[in-house]
Amino acid sequence: MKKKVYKILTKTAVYSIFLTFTAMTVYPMFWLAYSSLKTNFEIQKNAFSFPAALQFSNYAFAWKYGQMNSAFINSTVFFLFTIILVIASGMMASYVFAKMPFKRTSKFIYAFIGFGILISTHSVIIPLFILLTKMGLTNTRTGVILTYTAVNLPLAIFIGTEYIKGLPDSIIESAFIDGASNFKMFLNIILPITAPVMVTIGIVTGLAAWNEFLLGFIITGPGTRGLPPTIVAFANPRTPNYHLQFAALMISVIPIVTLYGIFNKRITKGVIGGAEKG
Amino acid sequence: MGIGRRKGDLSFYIIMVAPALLFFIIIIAGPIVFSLGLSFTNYDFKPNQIIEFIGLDQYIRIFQDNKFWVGLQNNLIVVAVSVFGQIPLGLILAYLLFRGQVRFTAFFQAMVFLPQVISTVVVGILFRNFFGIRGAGTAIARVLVEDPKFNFTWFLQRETAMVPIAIALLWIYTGYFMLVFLANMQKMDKGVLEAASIDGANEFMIFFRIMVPAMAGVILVNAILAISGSLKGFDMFFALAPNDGQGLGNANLVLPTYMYHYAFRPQKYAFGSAISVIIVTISIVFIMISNYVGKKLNPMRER
Repeated sequence: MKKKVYKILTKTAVYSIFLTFTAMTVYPMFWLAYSSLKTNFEIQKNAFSFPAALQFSNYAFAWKYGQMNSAFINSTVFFLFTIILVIASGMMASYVFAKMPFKRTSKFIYAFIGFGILISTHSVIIPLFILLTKMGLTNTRTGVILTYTAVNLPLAIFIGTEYIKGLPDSIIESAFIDGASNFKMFLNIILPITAPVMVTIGIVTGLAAWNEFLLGFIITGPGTRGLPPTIVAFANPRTPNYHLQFAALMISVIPIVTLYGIFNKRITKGVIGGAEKG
Repeated sequence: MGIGRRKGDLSFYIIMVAPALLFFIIIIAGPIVFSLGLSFTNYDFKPNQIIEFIGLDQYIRIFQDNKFWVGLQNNLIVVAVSVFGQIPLGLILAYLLFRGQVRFTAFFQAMVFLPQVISTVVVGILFRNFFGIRGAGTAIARVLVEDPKFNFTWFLQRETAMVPIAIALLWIYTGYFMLVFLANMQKMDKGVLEAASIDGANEFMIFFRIMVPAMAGVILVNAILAISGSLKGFDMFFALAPNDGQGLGNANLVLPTYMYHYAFRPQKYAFGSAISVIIVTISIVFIMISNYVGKKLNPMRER
């Protein structure tokens, strides 16, 4: 009897911990979502109240005055091209690091690039800014894509190389016996069987490219900025247009949370996958 | 090393590695080396400037700057929050999920992980508004303290300026560590745990005597990732304390925001380069410690 009471008490305690934690993550998001549909007056009057009528016009205004149109297109462009370049160049390097001869060279280059995982990106902003200015790549989409690619490559190569190392050598050997060239080998045999890890790399890279702020802020101008810098500029604490600020935040949140809703298992696995190897 | 060398391998190897290596050298490694050189000069890329080699003068200026020490101290606070907050909390939550004390595991996982997928800068602005004068967080606090005029003023006082940031960091990253630990726990041999339960060990004993020792390696690796992550963060600090580092804003400077506000913005590039060199050096020290400790713990896992 005593044991049962004890069990119920612990269960209650554990559940309340998780419910509190969940409430802490979900409630602010939920609050943001419905506040973005209130009028500014309603927001100022009562923080809790639900909108009397749904103000979808907030989104239209934020979209227009915050220059979200170009920001949204830019973010999408950065997202897609960074993913493509990181997967392409990352998988190429991963394959030769994992399975080709020249092990010593590979080990050295792998460690050198691996360093990039732990080095902070803000430590390069000044020289990078100077470099891109000299190359005429500031305030261009190309500059952002190249930068995001370089920043995301180290982790991608780490994930890719560790994955390919785990594949049996026999697959490669038998293909070589059948007379495949190195390029055919990579395109026809390696790429198809590494599809899962390419998805993982795509997720990790895509999230980073969509959400990145600092680099995308300093090397771009008003027309070439992605969403996060645009929102920061728009959601300025000095402008008390709460309804528009909130709508702007939602414009960045909605696509990624939708993707998360659909692919949540894969995304979680992908992001965790990088750290799990340790 | 199963696969032997064949004709044409070298050129293939070079072609395959070149793109990644070039990206990395041109955009990451090269600039870091370049900023090391720059940090010993006075060159700020102003037109007609006479470039002089001034040795360690930039570093001396940094070390004499009070704001640098505030930033460093705050960075260490962030490191402490990560290591002594996020990781233990994440470990405990993971353990609760792992031991099946909770149903709807998938739901809780998904929710706790949610802040991870959203832009840090957006989360920061949300957080600022949530606890701002019109925010629901403030409204809840007003009900709790029964003062309809209550406002959070933590940012305004030096002693508490980092508290909101610490809370935000816990809010975002605890879920991440929870899932990392959970993934590792699920790979464990369950026999030991069952045997312990049968022998009458309670959950606390199993947690401290079995789980924590078994997870020691993972905890360590993640502690190191958390430390380097804490030194890397910029967006959160920028979003929560966007005041340009002047006056009150100085209380929550960290090294990256210090560099941004006092070197990048005023275009003191040489000075800023010296700050990045210091940040990179601190990171390298942590990486070296991590390699060393990692090897000590896992002598068998030589690759």
